[in-house]
Amino acid sequence: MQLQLKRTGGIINFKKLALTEVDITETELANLVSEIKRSQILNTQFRDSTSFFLVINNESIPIDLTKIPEKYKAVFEELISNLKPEKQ
Amino acid sequence: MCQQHQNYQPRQCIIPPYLSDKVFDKASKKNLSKVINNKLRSSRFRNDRNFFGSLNKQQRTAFIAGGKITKKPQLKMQVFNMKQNTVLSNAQVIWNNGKEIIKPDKVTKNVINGCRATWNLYYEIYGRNSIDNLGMHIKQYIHYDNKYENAFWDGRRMIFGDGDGKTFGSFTLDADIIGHELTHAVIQYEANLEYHNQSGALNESLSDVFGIMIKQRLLNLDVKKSNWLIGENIVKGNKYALRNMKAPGKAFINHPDLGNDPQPATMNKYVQMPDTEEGDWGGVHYNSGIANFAFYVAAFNIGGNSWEKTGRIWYAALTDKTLKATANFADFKNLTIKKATQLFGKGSLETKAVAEGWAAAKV
Repeated sequence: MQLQLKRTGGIINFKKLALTEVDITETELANLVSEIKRSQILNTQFRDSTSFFLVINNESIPIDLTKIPEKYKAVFEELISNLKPEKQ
Repeated sequence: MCQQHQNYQPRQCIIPPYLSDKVFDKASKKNLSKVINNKLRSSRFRNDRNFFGSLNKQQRTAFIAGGKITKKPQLKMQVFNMKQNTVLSNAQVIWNNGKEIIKPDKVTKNVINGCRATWNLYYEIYGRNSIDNLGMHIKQYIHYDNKYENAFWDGRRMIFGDGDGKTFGSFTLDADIIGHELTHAVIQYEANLEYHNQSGALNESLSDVFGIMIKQRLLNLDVKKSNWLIGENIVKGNKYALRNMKAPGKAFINHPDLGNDPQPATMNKYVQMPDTEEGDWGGVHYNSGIANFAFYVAAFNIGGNSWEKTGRIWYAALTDKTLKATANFADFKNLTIKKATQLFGKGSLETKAVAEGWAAAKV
């Protein structure tokens, strides 16, 4: 299954994307999403902050990188290091 | 009415006289001195009040002590090293109110100088004591995360990344960015402009406006000498910057990674985006170009140093109590014209220039 990580926001608000193939079942993915999903509004006083999303079936799910379970840390580290800017 | 205290007013005394009298009467040998002391103090307190209460307003002013001489406000700043981590509580303090704890690196020096330039502009030109106008300690966190390409204000502190080294250098390289983040803090303590749609774009623009003035003042650049670029050293490559206030939309063109600068300069090009995190909360970093351009035109037409006259007008509008958190561009336009009129007079060059600025931005 393909996992896409998206980074948005920041002082000039540009998007960065990374894609990877992972051996994960639908159930495992659902469990992962339920563990790392966060509400959209981070903090009303945050200014110029960046956010991460997991893109599954064209749906962007806001995620909290600090909640990544140990078994998926390597996958997300690879995704983060492979993030490439999406041109404006 | 207590006969011994004819002027006794129950609402003003801490212990009613009949109680202190009772305690005095029943005092043992052991605690007599303490009770006498209390009784004396209590009597003194009541008599003083009776005395001062009988004075008229003019007589009372003669007893008012001269105003306490308060110390001149001073910048209070701490710098923390994140050591490429993201857990703020693990950060190490490396600079504490002028005290060097660890020999400062280039990034530390950048944030110290940028923060000092920001504090100085707000205090020396506008009389503001730190970001909350109450002398708040400013906390700056550097070397955040690994190759983090951003700087942000989290509601309490400023956080700076080192950049990826390819597209971006350290986000401390330009004083305008340090001033930009600190101005987000100032706005939080003033109108606290809501961070979405036009009020959010106004929030972003004000941060750019004060950011550029901080840099111009630091480098002694008047409106003609300045290139009006924000973050020109942060973006790698001589022809790129984060924003161009003189020509929004031209900070970067055909950049190999970033593409083209999406900022509009005029209201008819306002970018409609979803009011979500992914939609930049309705394009706050896009549409700020419109209000930035209005400021640039106003400052250029007024001439001289931007922070002296144009800055005063913008600061007066930002700190005006009638500025609502939901203000749009038109609200801010009206307020800046009103402030220019109050500060420089109706029909003055300054008031005309402000109106011209907003007209150029088609607001």
